[in-house]
Amino acid sequence: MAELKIRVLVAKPGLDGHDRGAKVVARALRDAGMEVIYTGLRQTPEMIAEAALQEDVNAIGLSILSGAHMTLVPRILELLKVNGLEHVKVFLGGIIPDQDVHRLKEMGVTGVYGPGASTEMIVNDIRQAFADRN
Amino acid sequence: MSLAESVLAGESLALAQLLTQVENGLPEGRLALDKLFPYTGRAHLIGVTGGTGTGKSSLVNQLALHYRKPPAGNPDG
Repeated sequence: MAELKIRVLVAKPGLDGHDRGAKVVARALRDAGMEVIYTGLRQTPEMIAEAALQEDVNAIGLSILSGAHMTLVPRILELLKVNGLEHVKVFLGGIIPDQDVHRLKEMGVTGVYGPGASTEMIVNDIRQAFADRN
Repeated sequence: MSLAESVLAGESLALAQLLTQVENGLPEGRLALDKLFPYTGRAHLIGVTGGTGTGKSSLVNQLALHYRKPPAGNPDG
């Protein structure tokens, strides 16, 4: 049997329509041997939590460029908790001001990646988070 | 409660986790299938084929709706 694949949901919550970054990350994770599910644009927190539940994902990558991250991320984290998905690691990419990064990490976000972050770094962080799984 | 028991109780998360175990060929998944097997056996297997864009998904969606509808006069199905 092959080693367990890390399953990642890449999701675009909110109303901004720019998913180039999300697609680049989705592809990088796939190329790194992970199983990636991309939700498509304009998802509600409820849709994302439901997709995470149905797909039994290990991690969720959120892409937010609209500035609504301080509203959307707490809501998603809360819904994950309600659904018994506290074990799911949540990371975030997009345009996130420095002063919000600290608060997001306090809420439980495992990584925040802005413009210029390398896909290699994201892949390594996720691999490391699940290093003891197999 | 084991995953199989949680699935029988209707928990979506347990079902998703069990599917992962089965997909990965883990022994736990195999054991759970043994447990669940007695509850199966009344299913139909229906195949739908057709060219691109001819409406396979639309048909399947409608079939699912139809099959999930309780029979007339029997609200409990």
